[in-house]
Amino acid sequence: MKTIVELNTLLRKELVLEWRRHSALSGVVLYLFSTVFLSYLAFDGRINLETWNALFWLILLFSAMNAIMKAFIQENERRHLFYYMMVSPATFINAKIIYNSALLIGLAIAGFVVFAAFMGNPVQSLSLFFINLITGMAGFSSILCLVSAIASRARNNFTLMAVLGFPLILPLLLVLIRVSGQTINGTSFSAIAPGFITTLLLTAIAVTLSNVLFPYIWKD
Amino acid sequence: MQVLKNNWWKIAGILLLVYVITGGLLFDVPMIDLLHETIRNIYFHVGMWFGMIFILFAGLVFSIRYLLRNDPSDDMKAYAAVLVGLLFGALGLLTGMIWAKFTWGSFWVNDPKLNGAVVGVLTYLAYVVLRGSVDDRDKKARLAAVYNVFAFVLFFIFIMIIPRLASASIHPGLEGNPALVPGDLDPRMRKVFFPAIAGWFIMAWWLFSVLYRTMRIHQKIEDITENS
Amino acid sequence: MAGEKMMVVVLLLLVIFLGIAVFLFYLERRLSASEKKLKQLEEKQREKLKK
Repeated sequence: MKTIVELNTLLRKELVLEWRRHSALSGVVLYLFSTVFLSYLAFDGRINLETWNALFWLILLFSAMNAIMKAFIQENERRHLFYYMMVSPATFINAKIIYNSALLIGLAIAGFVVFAAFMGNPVQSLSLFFINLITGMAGFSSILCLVSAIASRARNNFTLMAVLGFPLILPLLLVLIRVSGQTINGTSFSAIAPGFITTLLLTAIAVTLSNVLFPYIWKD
Repeated sequence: MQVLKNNWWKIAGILLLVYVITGGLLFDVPMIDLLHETIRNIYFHVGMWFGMIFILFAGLVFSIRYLLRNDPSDDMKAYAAVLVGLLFGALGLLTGMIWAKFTWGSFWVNDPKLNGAVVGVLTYLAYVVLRGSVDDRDKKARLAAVYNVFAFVLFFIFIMIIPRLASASIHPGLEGNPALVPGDLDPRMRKVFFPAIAGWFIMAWWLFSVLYRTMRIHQKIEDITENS
Repeated sequence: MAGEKMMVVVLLLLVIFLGIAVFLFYLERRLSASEKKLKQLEEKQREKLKK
């Protein structure tokens, strides 16, 4: 019960903070939109299904990296100390994962709308596509939050985050791109079930590991 | 006599690998279409890959032990193990690529298992980069240990799951453990294959211990010069 | 003829491998020597600190 109250408070705090420095979020959104527009110009509107799929996920990956990087790096040190006295580290990282999942899901849906507007929407099984998108973003968040925490402790920039994050996110990304490709061509749930379960499994493992490992690095 | 007592396992490893090199190249092997004589690569390529997994697993154990006990020497051991793992990974890739050239016609094909191997190497290179970008010794050790545990688990789920998920992999051993399933390997080859695995394990451990001792000496010299 | 060539390859590989093994033993000997020296140095330093 106490954990739930703490989680709730932390999530609300994230929202308030996000609102107060909306420049960070709008930066990420702008990044997403301009990458989409840039690829629209670069591909000149001519694009086949495989490229559509790959491009969409790559744009999402880079936007997600940008969005989650600020999850830890932007918090200032003294405020961190305060959180750590108030709540348990596991609750803290869980709140981060949940909040950033929601953020990424919103970002991904907005990204899809813009992307479809410019590049056309070839997706046939739209609901399955979105299920894959949503679980995928939760997976991204659960893997990248711990990486972001490590990168921020190392007091390093985007490069370290990318170097540490890419190899870890790649397996998940491959599964997501595969499933997403299936949904574009039209498919049934049973056909994407193995990929879907893999995504959930990777997410669950990443969350568990984050809970176990974060307490070791939260103190500076 | 003392020398022999401490080093008998190294000598055993040397003898095993001498046997593997001679027997692996000279003994009879079953003739299988496409593979022909290249099947002998299993003693080296698969053996080194197993050696890599073994030493990376040792690294994982050291990292966990570091997190539990905070002993800096555990962290150093984990680092040494990862470096040896990277060496074996690179050798495994190299032997695999040479083999691929002769069986598949090109050094590299887009295959889930091959990509998995590259992801593994990238992961552990990232580990080395992470260590390089933190100065504080204690903090470096903690971050590296956490990353090592996280990376190891995700990477191993990856190489266990992805090949099974993919509809087609031209790499042998779709079940994930090539050559270990009974009946998969000709008895003539098992005679060399199992000693090969033992030999590569010993080699990996030996290299690891030499590397660790070197690193420990460097560290001590640094400490002494700082103090005096 | 082919058999002879194979023998040459095997011998060459064995020489390379044994070379590596000998080098490792040599390294270990030097490491042991350094470790010994360091131990003495550390003890000296400790005595100095005591004084």
